Amino acid sequence: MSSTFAQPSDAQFLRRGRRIMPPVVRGLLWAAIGFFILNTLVSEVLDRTPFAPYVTKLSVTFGWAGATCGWLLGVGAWELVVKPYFGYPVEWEVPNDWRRYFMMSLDHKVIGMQYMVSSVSGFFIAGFAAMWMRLELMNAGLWAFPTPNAYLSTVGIHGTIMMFSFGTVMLVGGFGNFLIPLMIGSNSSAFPRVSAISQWLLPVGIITVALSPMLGTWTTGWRGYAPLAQQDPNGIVFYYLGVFAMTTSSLLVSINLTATILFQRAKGLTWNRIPMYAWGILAASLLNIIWLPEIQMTFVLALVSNIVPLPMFAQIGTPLTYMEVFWLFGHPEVYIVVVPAFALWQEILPVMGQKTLFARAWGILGLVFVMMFSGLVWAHHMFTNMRNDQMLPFSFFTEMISIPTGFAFLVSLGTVWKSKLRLTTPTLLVFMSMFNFLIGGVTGVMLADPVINLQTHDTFFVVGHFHYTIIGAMVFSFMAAGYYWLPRFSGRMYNEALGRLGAIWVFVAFNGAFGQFLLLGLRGMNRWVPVYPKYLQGMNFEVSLFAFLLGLGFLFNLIHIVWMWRRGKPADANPWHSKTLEWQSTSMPGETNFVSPPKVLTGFYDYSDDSPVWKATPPKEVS
Amino acid sequence: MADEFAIVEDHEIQSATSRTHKPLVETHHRAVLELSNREWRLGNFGNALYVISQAIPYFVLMNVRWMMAGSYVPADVSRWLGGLWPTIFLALGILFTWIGVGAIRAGKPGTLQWTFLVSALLGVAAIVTLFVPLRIHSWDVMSHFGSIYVVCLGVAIFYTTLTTIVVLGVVFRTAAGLIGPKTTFGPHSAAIMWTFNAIAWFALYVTLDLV
Repeated sequence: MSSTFAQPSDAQFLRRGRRIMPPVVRGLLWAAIGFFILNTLVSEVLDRTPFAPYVTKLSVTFGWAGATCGWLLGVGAWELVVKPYFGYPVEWEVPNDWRRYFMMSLDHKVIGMQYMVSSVSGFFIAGFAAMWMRLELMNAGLWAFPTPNAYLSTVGIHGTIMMFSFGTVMLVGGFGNFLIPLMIGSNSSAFPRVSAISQWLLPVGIITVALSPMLGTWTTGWRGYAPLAQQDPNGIVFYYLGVFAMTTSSLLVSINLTATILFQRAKGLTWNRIPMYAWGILAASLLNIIWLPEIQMTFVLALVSNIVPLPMFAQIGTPLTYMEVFWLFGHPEVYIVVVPAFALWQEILPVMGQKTLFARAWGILGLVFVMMFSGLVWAHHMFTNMRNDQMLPFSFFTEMISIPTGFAFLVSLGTVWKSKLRLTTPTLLVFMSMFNFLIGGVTGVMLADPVINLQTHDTFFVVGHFHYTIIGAMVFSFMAAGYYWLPRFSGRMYNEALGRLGAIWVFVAFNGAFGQFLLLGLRGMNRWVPVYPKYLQGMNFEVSLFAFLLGLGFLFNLIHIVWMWRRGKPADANPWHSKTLEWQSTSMPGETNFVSPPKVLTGFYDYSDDSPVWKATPPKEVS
Repeated sequence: MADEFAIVEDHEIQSATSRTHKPLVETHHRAVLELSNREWRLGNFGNALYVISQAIPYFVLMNVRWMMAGSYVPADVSRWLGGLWPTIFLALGILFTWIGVGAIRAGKPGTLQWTFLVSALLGVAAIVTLFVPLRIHSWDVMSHFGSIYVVCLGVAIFYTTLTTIVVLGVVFRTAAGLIGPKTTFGPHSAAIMWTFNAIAWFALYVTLDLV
């Protein structure tokens, strides 16, 4: 099935492009020019103030917009999007080698790879920030940071990059772009240009947030609370801009993948045969399409309040206004992160057990209802600001959402029951993810109770809870998927012993660190403080040791996967004997997925017999 | 396919990854090809997702203005500048863009070109009339009067600029012979985007200034 707007194989339209400098280099150059022009225009011409510095928070906002446009045009949007839109022929050469990863591409597998690298880079940048925070907290006094504000900025950078460049992105933009077209039997995503642009926005966002201390510290954390943000120095400006770039990236890719799943499916791939991971991506994408524009507009209001300045959320509106519109997005964000992880459990376990997926329809219902309920629970983040009668509906729905979440557990456990399960690294990591999410879920139900919530609010108990849900569920599932699909991505197999070692390593370190977060919170350890009472130092010291061990564990897994990607033992085309379509094609980036369009004959999760699930068809049979 | 692959040797992996199955240039100008019915539906679905996602920021603006009650319209705002003029310009643009779409379906690229050019000019006029009150607004930091209104003006300028560029692109592509009676998806999408922008601004203006 072809894409609507890009078909990479018709020779009649091909033209050789003129030679240009490497796109990434050109992008950096154009970004610098864009920044220089717009920043100068604003600070030296339109908003000139005597003795003001060359870079002001107003000028840097426009300069950043110029730099972002220059970057996108330089890496390929000029030739691939803008010029064709105005009637010029496409002149964009994509070499079939490593260079294709350093330029704008329309190949969904190349885009997926680019997303994975950007996203994992964000994960390690944010992880480094976390290590620095834990270093600080080994001692009850201030010692690793020069000021409390520097510590709080690092907390903000950690949370922001983790949430918006990794949690929201990795399973959707990374695995989603690479795998979804393959899983539904298509040769392309629906709007490849949209994903091509969105990928290159992600590094912009990560770098912007990581460099925010250049403009000054900010103390709001990943939530960017206004009007608190307005009393900070200018670093918060880069927070809003960076998040704007990253959320735009996720919004665009969600639009593309939603259209892809609905319109690019192979013949015979009816609604009741759509792969579980595609369901997970569809649910998360719909949440992205609704809630990301909502938070973007909120951040625009907060940004203009800061740079103009305007008195919104202070003299007009209240801080509560901001909190309400923030958490309207903030809680569905959690489900944007974990819904694809639930789907991964249901994708991997039937393959590893070679057993039919148990109660598949309930699994899908679980994903859909979690998606729907996620918009009804947001105010439990604000119980300290509410009356009892306002709390109860949100308390009720927060507890109710555990029911569809439970479907994911029931489907997974039912599938494993009496199966001949292969306890491979992906299987192990899925079980670890389920265990961690169980802890995260149970503590979540506890926090839905106003009595407990009010007692533990703003303590490490809450931090422990959400790290169990986010890292525990999403990151462990991501690792499971990374090992599971490594043979598909690279044609090579990881080392099973090293894989298991890496899994056990991070599991022990994770629970050692975040299990004690829960206990620290109950003993009175507050969030957002680099200095704390001396009696908590012993346990904080231990937590930091486990956190360093966790960081090293993630690094170990990364090195293992990268090494095996290059040097691992060559793998079978379908080493796990999966029935889903991504394993039925051996195409690598730059190659056509299905030379003959596939026709799906049955569902993918029935392992009770060996009948074929698909057959190749001549092109004329496909609509 | 799976059966062709089986267990492979190291050198085969290398050759598989370096095979050149695609041309050097990755894509061509798809706009000159006629879309199938399914591709039309896909394109329209993409338009719908764009409209849904971009309607939400407008809902946020309309919603938060109530929380900033009593202070969302500047006292000295002109009913014309930043109000009725851009509304009229954008509404006229709806008419012209859809006349253009009808014309190209009837095989009249010349009519499409001038109607879209008029729409682009109307877009520029709307931007100017939205910008003037923004420029002359009193930015006294001690006064909080009309803050939400001027933000709305800025949002409307942003979206109208985008829409005008999109409409202008159709004019250029028609001049290059890339749009014809059977390849009308470009102007169709541009008209949808224009219509959405005009309606969204109108709804915002009505709720801010009149309701």
